[in-house]
Amino acid sequence: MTKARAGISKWEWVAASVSGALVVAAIVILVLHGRRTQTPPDLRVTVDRIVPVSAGYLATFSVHNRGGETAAAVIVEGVLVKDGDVERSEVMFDYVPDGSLQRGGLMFTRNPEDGELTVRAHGYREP
Amino acid sequence: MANRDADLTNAGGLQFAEGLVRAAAGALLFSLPILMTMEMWWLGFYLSPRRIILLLAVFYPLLIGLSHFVGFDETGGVGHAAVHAIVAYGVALACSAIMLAILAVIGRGMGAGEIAGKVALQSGPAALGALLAEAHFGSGPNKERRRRRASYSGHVLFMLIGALYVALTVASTEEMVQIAYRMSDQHALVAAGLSLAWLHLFVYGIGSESHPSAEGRSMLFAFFRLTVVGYALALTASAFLLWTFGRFEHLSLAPIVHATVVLGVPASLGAALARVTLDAE
Repeated sequence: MTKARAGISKWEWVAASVSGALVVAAIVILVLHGRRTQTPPDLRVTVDRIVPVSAGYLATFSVHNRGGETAAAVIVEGVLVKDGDVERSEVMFDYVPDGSLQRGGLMFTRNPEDGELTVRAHGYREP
Repeated sequence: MANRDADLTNAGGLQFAEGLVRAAAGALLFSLPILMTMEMWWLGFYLSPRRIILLLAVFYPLLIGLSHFVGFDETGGVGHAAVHAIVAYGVALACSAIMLAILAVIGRGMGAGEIAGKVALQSGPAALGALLAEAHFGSGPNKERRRRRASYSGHVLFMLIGALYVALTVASTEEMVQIAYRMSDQHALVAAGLSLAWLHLFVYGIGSESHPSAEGRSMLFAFFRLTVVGYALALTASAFLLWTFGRFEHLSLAPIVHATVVLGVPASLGAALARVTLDAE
């Protein structure tokens, strides 16, 4: 044992300490993350911007999962009601991990700014 | 005298720095395909953190053994190898984090748990790559001698590492379970027979020099002592990886066995060619 110790240089100890700190940090974050209560996905969608594009109007949005579990196959639908007409548009996200934020966009032919636009997540499945 | 000591430490520092570069190169060489696999990113956030930590813990003793026989730089005893195994994890975490950031797999808007999970999950395979560095870049005479004189348990370790080395590149993919669903029992039997056959061929010395642990013994002896043990190791490694990556969830026994046999195909090839992977005699 002492022989082995003698063979470890100062630099190896430095590298091992830095590495050990990295490993411990990763494990601590994982443990803390794992100890959080496993609440179901809590998806909140907010419209960020409305931009005119060649095909009409684009409503960009972000979907934030504030729950404790990952949601897979999340469908986000936007409904635009304008002058009694209803226009729908939807998009799917493969995954919205817990605590994370994903961005997307929905296309409409008419300007959502003069109508009533609601964007919400329809549902998800467990990964 | 003091001056010469300082020179020696500096030289040692430089040599160790070269070792770290080798470790990083080894880590990237092996783990880039895994870093570019979607399933590994997804598993990073939806796997239970306990499984990721368990993977790192189970790999650690294997990494110590690998560091003793191959590694990225010279080591003395087992304590020294254990220190290098920790350094390999550090190099692996750093390389994985940098690469995943460059590939835009981790970034702003993600929770700390998601980022830590994605990086930590990659660090197991990357650390294995880091400690195989000297198998690619050439190793010192000490380690070569150690590999040549490895006992039977040493060769068992080589086969296990060889199995993980090849199985890890595909273990996380959805194809493993997909293939298992397609296969009939006959397919699975043929796959198992093929795995045993090439293990035995390589172990008993067709296509490469015969295995040192089988030299001068009968065919049957080698079959049970190395081939069957090698296949058992390959299946164990496969089952462990599939379970860790959550591929057994909600499956009945038949697809579990099939999926293990499917991953056992690359794993057994890895075990058969372990001496090539580890550059051992």
